[in-house]
Amino acid sequence: MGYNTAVVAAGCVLLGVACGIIGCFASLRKRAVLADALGHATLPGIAAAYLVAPSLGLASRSTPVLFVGAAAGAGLGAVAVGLLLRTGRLRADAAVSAVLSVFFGAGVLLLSIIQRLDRGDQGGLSHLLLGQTAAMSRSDAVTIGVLALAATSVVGLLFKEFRSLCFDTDFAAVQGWPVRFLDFVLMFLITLVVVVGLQAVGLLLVVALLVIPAASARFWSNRLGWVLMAGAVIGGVSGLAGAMGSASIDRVPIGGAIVLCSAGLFVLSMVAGPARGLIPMWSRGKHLGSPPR
Amino acid sequence: MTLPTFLTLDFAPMATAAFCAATCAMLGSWLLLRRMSLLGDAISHSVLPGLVAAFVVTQSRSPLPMFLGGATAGVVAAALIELVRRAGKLDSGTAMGVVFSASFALGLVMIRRVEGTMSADLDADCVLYGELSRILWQPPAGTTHLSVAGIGSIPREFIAAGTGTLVTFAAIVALRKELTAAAFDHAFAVTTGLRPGLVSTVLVVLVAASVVSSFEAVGSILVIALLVCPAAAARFLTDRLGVQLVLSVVIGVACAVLGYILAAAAPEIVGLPGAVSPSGSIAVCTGGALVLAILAGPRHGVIARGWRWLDLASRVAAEDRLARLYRESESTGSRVVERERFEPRVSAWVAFVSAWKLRRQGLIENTSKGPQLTGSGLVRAAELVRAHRLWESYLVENVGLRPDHVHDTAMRLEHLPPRLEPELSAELDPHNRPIPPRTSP
Repeated sequence: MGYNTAVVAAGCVLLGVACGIIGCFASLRKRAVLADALGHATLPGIAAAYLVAPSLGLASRSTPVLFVGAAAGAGLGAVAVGLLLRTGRLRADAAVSAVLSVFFGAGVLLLSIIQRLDRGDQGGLSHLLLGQTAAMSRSDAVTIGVLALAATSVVGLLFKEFRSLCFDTDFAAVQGWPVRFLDFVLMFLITLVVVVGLQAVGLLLVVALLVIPAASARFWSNRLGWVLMAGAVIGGVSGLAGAMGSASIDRVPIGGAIVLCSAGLFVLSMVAGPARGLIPMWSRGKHLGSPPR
Repeated sequence: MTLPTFLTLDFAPMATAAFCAATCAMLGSWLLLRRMSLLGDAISHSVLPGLVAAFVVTQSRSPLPMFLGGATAGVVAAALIELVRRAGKLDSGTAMGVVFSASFALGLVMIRRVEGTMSADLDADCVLYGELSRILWQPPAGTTHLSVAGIGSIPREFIAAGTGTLVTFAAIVALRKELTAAAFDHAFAVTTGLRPGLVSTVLVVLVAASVVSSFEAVGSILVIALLVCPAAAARFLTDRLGVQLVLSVVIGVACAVLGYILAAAAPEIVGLPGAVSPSGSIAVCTGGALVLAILAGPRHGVIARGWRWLDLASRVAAEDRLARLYRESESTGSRVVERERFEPRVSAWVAFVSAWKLRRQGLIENTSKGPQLTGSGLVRAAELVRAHRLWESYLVENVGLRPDHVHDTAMRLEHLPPRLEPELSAELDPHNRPIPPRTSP
């Protein structure tokens, strides 16, 4: 394994760990599907940042510019979902689907304008849809790693608060914790990992990093600490295996590889996870006569 | 632009988009009512591996195998979602997230593996964005569009989309009773043998089929916009099921046509060369339609609801002020209230509108010493105070509350229509203040 592959793999592992942990909280707080809308909503942000950057005297392909654009798009998407829900006439599923598709449509529109402008430097924008097919650059991998670490440490610091937020919001409020602010922090972290993740797996698949490891982890334990641990391990292993697989097999995009690895781990967890997996449940049911609650 | 040019370049893609929009809007309304909108999202992502598999097997993009492959993959994904949801005891959003992202990833990996290895061409772009502008109606040389040969050369995407619309329409008409029962009262549907489970399966198959027949035209992700947005927009405009279905189709078709025209025409106006992505433009139009409906819906729109709220709030504030002036002039014995107590409970906006209402109806006049009730204002205020004190008496005598606990409740009840006020013959309220006599018959 070359040095570059090792750096990319390390970045993917850290990303997987961060997504696994934050995905657990996101799914407990019923925000996991929102990540799909956020992922798609980054596209118009990225395209707009690309269009606007030169007039601000910035390099339009520079990672920070696209990063800010992606975050702005995702933030707008989150606000739009919130506003749609506040009308009280649309359910979360419809709001998420509407924002996802319309924002993505706006992104496609802007991308087609960019193509017409033909500035000659748009190469790589479409990579963000499906993840970097060529090897990530070292600095990209380092950025991903650092941000993933930062997100993980915020969760570590706010573990107790997030736990209350997810399991008993009223209790958290009675304790005097700023529930709305904590919700905002969680949303911010979801946005952060979505934006970071789209560099690696592309904005169409970034939701998978948040949903699949978290859903798999749920089969391993009924204790939050262990579930988070399992989510981190499953996310990290998927990141590692995906990066390695993509590097060693020809023409396998890294995003697809990571997601397929995590899907494999999901099947394994669903079948064999000790807490809620099918086989343990079945064998316990056989001993007790009825499945345990 | 001449008619033949229009028919060659623009008619077929525009009509194809309109057919896709109509199909998706019809199905989208049912998905929305059954809270299954995310399923359209999930299916449109999951058809990808089926499409690629059909492409690999047949080595071409011939429509029937692609359609079968995609629809099969969509139905399989829906079944997998149900399996994961039940076996894993996960909520349906999570189950969908797991299944559709995994199968979409599978499809992308398959595409990348086969890219460039075959004579025919299938790339991620055409699946994601659609290829509306590549649909051309090119009649054989020497014939016109409306000749036999010209009609025979109508592009297959157009025919597929039109067939999809017809089949969907027929299925919905045939199953309207079952669909309605399953959407509004699941238990009723089960007990009367209307088979909601089977209806769900049919709906899933129809969605999968329409997604597959639309993906070539508008792309796999923008088809979600056509499924969700027109239906959601119609939801803000009506409460009737039939109207909802018709409106969503009208909105969908209008967005498709408008979006296509804008994509073709707008860049020239701004001075960009060539056209922009029509599917992106259509999706943005459906979003615009949704926003418009949310703002301007006659009953459920934000503006209508805000207006109704402001109307009520300002009426209550105006009536409260009338009653307050009445009480003060009652205690001082003078019609002019020199020192008016303001209760700053309402926002400035509501206070402004209520003051405007009082002035317009001529209920209060401002003298140099202070505000004063006019003749009609005095009548109206007496009615309000009468209602207030009657309600206080009622609450003490019939409900059994203590006299010092009834004021706030009476403050609300006094705004009810006069025909609802309690029929009591009391002349004094619990605080020994006189109840004004009934003025109007």
